[in-house]
Amino acid sequence: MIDGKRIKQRAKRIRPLLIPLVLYLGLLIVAVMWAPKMENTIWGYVIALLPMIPGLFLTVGIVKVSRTLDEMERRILLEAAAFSFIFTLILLLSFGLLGLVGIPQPRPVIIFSIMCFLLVIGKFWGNWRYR
Amino acid sequence: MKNRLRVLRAERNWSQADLGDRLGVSRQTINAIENGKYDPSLPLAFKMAALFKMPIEEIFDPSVEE
Repeated sequence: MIDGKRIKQRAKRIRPLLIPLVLYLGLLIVAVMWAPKMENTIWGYVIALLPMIPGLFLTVGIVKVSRTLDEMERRILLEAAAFSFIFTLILLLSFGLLGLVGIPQPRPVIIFSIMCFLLVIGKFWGNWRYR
Repeated sequence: MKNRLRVLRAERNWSQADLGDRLGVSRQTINAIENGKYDPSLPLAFKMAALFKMPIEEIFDPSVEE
């Protein structure tokens, strides 16, 4: 049973991620709406890159949250990250080699999405393994 | 590695979450240790020994590998 105290603890644990994520989404909307109107101007570049400021804080948040994990949770996350990293590398190398025979190369956003998806799969696999 | 964690916990009427709170780990970690799926680090094993006021070798049995 999850009681109120534990829900509060979990909410407190993910707070370093929530604030930058909300800021990122807000600034992303600003960038998507305003940057195309200022194409090839200094302000255009600045506005287009605005969402990356909370993005940097998100990195700090991820490190902070990972420090609150216990030893088994860290092991699961490490194994999931290793699985995701290596599998994505194999996928990339495969696409690189297939490029020799004219197969189009995947876009970076697709590669990143695959990496995130594999991280989630690895996390579920780890949770199942140590259940 | 086999251990007596489940028995020791039951003797004190603690849930896995209670024990996890006392040791600063998650309920899932306690469950994995009790089921022999995960062997705790030495610092965590010492914490357990201090909590149950008994030597580590009375909680964990290193002779039986699963």
